[in-house]
Amino acid sequence: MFFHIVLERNMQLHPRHFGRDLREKLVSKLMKDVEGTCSGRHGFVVAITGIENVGKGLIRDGTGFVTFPVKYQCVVFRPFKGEILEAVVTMVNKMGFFAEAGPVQIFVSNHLIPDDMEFQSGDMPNYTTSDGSVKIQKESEVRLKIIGTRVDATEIFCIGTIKDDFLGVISDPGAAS
Amino acid sequence: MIQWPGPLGLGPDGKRSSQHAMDSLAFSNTDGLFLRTLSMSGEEEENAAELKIGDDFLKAKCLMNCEVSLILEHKYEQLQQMADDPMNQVSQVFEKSLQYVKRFSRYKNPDSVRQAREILSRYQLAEFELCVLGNLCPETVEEAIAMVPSIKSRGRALEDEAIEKMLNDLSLIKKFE
Repeated sequence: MFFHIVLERNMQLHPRHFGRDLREKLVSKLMKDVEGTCSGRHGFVVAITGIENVGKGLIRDGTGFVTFPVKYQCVVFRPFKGEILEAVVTMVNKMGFFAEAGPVQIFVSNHLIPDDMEFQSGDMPNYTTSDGSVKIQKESEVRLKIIGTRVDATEIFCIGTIKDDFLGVISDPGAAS
Repeated sequence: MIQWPGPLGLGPDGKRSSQHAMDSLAFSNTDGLFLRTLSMSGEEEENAAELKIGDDFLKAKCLMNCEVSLILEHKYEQLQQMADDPMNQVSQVFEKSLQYVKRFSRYKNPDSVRQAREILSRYQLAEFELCVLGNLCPETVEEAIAMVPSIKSRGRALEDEAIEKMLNDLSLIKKFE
């Protein structure tokens, strides 16, 4: 899910930037530093939308750098266990398939794909029901439920399932073309 | 050596997290969520189906995919005016999120996005529930409850008729878009 939240960060600025456009320098550095990063607590920082407040700067001993506490609003994407969302299938193999929902990767193991869907290898590997009516392949859109998340320093990785009511393929690219 | 009273020893993260924990305790004491909050600040199980998403996020503003799409496209246009090749300027997280929300936006024009939020906000939903419904647009009451189990289990259980009316109103916006 996407959220709009306020975060705070201490920004260090070199004295050469002190002047009329100090604030702009601070903001552009902030964008460069935090947009695209990921933390386990707040998820992926997608975009900064505004600056709430820049606090008083403090000169650091010995270097002349000044630290400013900056409060900013941003759009973040944070997946939760138990959340249901839509995703695009990016890779299919006999272990299951990978899907992407925005910046996050979700793996759905073949144990969590309905039992009536069989893996079919070939140049377009896919999972298909025995009557061929439902097919999951690359670029399919699926609705899935996140059942686990793994967080490391720079990435969040999810495990999902489509073995539940109202989950599964929303559209398959083969049918549309 | 002179000791500056500056933010030297204050790891930005260390300070922030303890501050947050204090905030959530103060809030939740009044509405009986005390125990849950206590355990959330530790590494307790999160479960979006029961609306256990941590206090920071429960109180934060959630965004539907269509809203995120408006925000990100606006930002992208701004970048376009400043540089010739904005895709080089933005992070991969931004790019992937933009693609994702464009693909999975239920409502395309800003007016219907506003209407959708207006309709959903009549039903005393939590922000998170509101956005899941707005993103997935379930067609039946049964489907809506499967997508957002917490709407039936949080004391203020919504009547089936109310849910039905809500889904109807939502599908009307789509029809007249």
